[in-house]
Amino acid sequence: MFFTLGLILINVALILIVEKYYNKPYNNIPINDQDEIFILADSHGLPLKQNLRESGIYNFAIGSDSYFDIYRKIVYLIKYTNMNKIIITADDHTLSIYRENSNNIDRSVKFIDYNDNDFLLENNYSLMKEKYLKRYLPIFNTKTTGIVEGFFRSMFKKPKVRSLDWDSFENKKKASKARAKLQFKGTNSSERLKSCIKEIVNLCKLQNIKIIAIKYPLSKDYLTEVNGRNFGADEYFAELGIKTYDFTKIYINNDEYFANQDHLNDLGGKKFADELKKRLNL
Amino acid sequence: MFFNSIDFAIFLPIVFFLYWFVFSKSIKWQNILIVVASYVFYGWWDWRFLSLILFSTIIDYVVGIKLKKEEDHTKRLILLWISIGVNIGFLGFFKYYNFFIDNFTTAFSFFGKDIAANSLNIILPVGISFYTFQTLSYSIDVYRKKLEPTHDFIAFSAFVSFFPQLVAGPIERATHLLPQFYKKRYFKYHNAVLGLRQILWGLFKKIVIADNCAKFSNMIFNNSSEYPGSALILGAIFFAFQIYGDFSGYSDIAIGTSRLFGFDLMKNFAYPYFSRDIAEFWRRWHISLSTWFRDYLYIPLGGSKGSTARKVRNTFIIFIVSGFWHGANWTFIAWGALNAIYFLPLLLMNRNRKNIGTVAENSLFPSVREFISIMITFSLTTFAWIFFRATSLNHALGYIKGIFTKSVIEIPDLPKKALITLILILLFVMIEWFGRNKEFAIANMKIYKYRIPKWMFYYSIIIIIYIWGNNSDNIEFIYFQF
Repeated sequence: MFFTLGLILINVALILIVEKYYNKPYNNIPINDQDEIFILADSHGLPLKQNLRESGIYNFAIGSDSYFDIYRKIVYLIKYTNMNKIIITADDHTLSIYRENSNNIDRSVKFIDYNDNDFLLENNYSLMKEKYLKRYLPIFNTKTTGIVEGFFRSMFKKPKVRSLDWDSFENKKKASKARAKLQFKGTNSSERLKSCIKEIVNLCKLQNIKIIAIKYPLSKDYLTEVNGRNFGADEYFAELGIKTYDFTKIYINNDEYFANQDHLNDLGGKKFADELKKRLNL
Repeated sequence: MFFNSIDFAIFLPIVFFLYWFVFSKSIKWQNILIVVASYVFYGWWDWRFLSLILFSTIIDYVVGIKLKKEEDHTKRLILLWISIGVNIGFLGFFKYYNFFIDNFTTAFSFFGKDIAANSLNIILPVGISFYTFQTLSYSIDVYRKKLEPTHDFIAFSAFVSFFPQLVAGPIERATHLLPQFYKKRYFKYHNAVLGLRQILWGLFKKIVIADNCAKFSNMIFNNSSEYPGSALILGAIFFAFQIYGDFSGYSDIAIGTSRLFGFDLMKNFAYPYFSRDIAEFWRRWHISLSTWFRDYLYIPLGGSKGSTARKVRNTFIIFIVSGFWHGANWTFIAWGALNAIYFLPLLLMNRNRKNIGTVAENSLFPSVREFISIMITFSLTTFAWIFFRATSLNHALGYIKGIFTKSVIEIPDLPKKALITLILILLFVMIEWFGRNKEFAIANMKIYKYRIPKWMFYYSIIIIIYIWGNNSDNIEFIYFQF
C-alpha cells in the first residue's frame, strides 16, 4: 500500500515537472474566438512573436511543430475561432524524416477530441492513450525522460546561456554545418508528412480557409551549407495549387537580424513581421 | 502487445482484476478469460493471425482425442503426421517459403537453368515458432501415451494461447502446463510479490540493458566496415548482452506474469554467461527450446548413443535445426553449425556433463581456473553471435575479418553513452553474479527482510528504467521475429 503510494508520489512529481517545463507552451493559449488569421510554423515562426496581433494575426507557432501538429491545430481552430486564413510554413526541412521523427505529436494531441478525424490516431483508444494516459502517467512517455533529466541537471548546474547574436558569432560555418546536417539527413522526404499536407489543404478548402505558404529568412552561412537541398514542401504546395512566398534570402546580408543560423532574433522578427504585412497585404 | 508498452500496463491489471475478483469462483470462467485475454493480446498485432492459432488449436485438440481412441499403429501415426503437417506446414509457409524459393532459384541458375519462381510478400506471424512447438509437444506426448488427451477445449485453448508465454516462450510442455488449467488456482501474496519482482527485473533487462546495447550493436553492425577491430569486438559484446537481456528479460516478464495468475512456467535461462563450457551454456540458454529439441529430435535420433559417426551426425542435426528454427537465413545455420563444432569435442571426450552445478557455489568469487573457463566460453559464444546478428554470411565474414586487423588495438571512438552502457552492463553482471544460485538474480536478496531498503531498491530500479531506458521508440523483442 505505502509502496504504491510512493509510486504515485513519484508519478505526481514527474507530472509537475513535465507540465511546467514541457507542456507549458501548449497550455493556456490566449486565443480569441474572433481571431481570423493564424501563423502555423515550427521554431522559425517564433521570432515573429505577437508582432502582428494588431493586424488580427495570432502567431500559433511552436518549436518543433510538424505538419501533424499543424493539422491538429487547424482542426482545433476551426472549432473554436473564426479562422479564414492560415500562414503556414513551407521551409525546405519541413518534409524531412528529421521533422517526421522530431515533433510535438505527444502534446498537440491536446487539440484533438474523440469525434475528430485525426491523421495519426486510428481510434478512440489511441486518442485516450496519447491524450490522457501518457500525460498523466509520464513514466510511460519516454520523451519525458529528457525533460526530467534536464530539470535535475539544472538543479546542480547552471544552464549555458546561448548567445542570440549571430552577427558576432565566431563559428558560423561550424554551427551552420551541424544544423544543416541534422535537418537535411538523408535524401528522401517524408511521405507521411506529405500526406498530411494534402489533408491540411483538403480540410482548408472544405472550410473556405485560405492558405498562404511561406519560407522563413535564413542566414547566408546556413544557406551556403544547405546548398540547395530541399525536401520540397514548397513544390508540393504548388502541386496542390498553393503559392509559396519565399523569404529565405531577404536578409542574406543582414546577420544582425539573426539569433543563430536559421532563426531570426527579436529585431529580425519585428522587421520580418513588417515585411509580411507589406508583401501579403495583411 | 508488447510487455514494455502502456497498452500492456493497462491490459494486465484489468485481466488480473477480472481473474481474481470477478471469475475467481469458477476455473472454467477463469480459463475462458485467459483465452479471451490471450486472443486480445495476440490480436493487438494483427487480428488475422488469430485464425492460425485457432486452427492449430482445433486440429491438435481433435487429433489428441482421436489418438486416444485409435489403437491401430498406422492410423495413430497418420494422425500424428496430420498434426505435425499442419503445424510445420504453417511454420514452413510463413517462415521458410521465401528462403527455399530464393535458394532453389539460385541453385538452378548456378547450374545454368533459370526457373521462374516468385517469392511472396509474406508477413511472419509473431511468435509462430513458439506456439507451434508448444502444440506439437502435446500431440507427440499423446501419441507416445505420456499424456492423457484433454476433452476440455477451453483449457486446451488456454494452454495453446496463454498470453504471458505465447509469443516468445518459454515453450511449455503440455505435461507441465496443461494440468495447471484443470486445477483451482489460489492467490498467494508471496507468489504475486515474487512475480512482480521478476517482472521488474525483466523490464530492467529489456529496457535498460538490451535496448541500450541495441543502439550500439546496431550502430556498429550496420556500419561495420567503418569501424576499427576494437569497436567491432565491442559491437559483438553489445549484441551478446542485447540478446541475453532481451530474451531472458522477456522470459522473466512472462514467468512473473504467469505467477500473478497462479501458474508456474519452466525456467528458460540460468545465467548462461557464467557457463564454464559450451555444453553448460546450452543447458542454461533458452532451456525450453534446448530440452524440446533434446526430447523430440535428439533422443529419437539416437542421442549420444551409438557410433562416433552417429554422435557427430546427431549433434550437427540438432544444432543446425536449432539454428534454422531461429530464422530462414544461412547465418542462423552457420551459427548452429559453429556451436556444434564447439560442442562436439566435449561430447566425444565425454566431458559434456563436467560442469553441472552452480559455478563457485560456496564462494564469493570464482577461482582463476573457473574465471578463465567462463571468459573462454563467453568469447566463443560472442564470436558465434556475430553470425546470428549479421545480415548475411558475407557480412559476418567481413565483420570477423575486420576484427583480425591491426585496428584491434585502436581505442574505439564511440559516443559517451556507449561507456555508460558498458558500466550498466557491469552493474548488471555483478547483480546476476551475486544472485546466480537463485531462480532469477533479485529473487531472494537479504535486503527483503527490511522494508525501507527493499523499497529503496525497487524505486531505484524503477528510476533507472525511467532515466536510463533507451528513450527512442519501443524496440521490439528480438525473439518475436522467430
